[in-house]
Amino acid sequence: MSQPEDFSAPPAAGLSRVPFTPREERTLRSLANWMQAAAVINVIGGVFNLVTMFYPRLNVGKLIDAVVGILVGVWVFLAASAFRKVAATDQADQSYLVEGFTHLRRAFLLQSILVLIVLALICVVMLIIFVRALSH
Amino acid sequence: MNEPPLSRVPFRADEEAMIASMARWMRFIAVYTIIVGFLLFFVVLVIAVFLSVAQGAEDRSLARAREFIEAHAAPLIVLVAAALAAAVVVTWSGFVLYQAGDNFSLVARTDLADQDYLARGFEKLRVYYMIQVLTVVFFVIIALLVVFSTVLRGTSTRTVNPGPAGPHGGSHVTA
Repeated sequence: MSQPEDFSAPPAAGLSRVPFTPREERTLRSLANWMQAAAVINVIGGVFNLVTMFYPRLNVGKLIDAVVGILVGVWVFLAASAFRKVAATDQADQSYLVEGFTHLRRAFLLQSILVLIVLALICVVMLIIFVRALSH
Repeated sequence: MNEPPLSRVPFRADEEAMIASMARWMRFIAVYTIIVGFLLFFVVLVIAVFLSVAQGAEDRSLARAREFIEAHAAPLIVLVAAALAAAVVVTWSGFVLYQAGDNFSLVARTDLADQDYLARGFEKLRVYYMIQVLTVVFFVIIALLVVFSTVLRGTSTRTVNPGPAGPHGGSHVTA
């Protein structure tokens, strides 16, 4: 009979232990705490935007803000959980580091894409205003 | 006794590419945050200069602005100070995030002191998220104080000023 798989444990690749000093492990735990607090704030902000996006009328900007806020919040929370495991366990430190960085990369990538879209929109609006000013 | 820090954490090539990519996007957001911080600082500074010029000006066209500033001097000073502080904090958080990205980038690009770079990157990232959380908490507290003071002021105004129903009309004392 096959054993039930433990999906919570990452694949045992790389170093099982990165020899962080106790001080560095404290920093990692503190980082995880602050990241999780920031993640919760992001999710609460996202849910608030989701609830208020119909008032006074449908606001697509709030919907985008809500989705981005919730996704970033979830990814930052998952990254924090992985970093906490690096400090708390000596099972698969390197895998947990990679897992944390993967989630963190997603969060920063999504924020960057949003920033790029906003900057592009600002450029387009400025271009339209400039062209209209020239034509008058 | 502490073990010596690893000069190389044996990340695979694809993992190093992922870490380098993360560091790149981290620094992109950091640069954007720094620019936003500087812009905010500049805008607030321009507003502060305009307010002080308007207050001292004899020009009639600025009479309404002068009245407004004189009537709301204290909240305006608090608002400008808070906005300047916010600009400084935003810029600082951008610099800290950039340093974190720099350290993680060195983890991916070099094999000199991976563990030290990781530790330094985590420390900077911790400061970045700490600034984010404390800023939100600070502004939520300020917003709650403003709401409570407005509600209290409204309540006391209603209590002191009963309106024209009294024998000599309403008192004009407001809290």
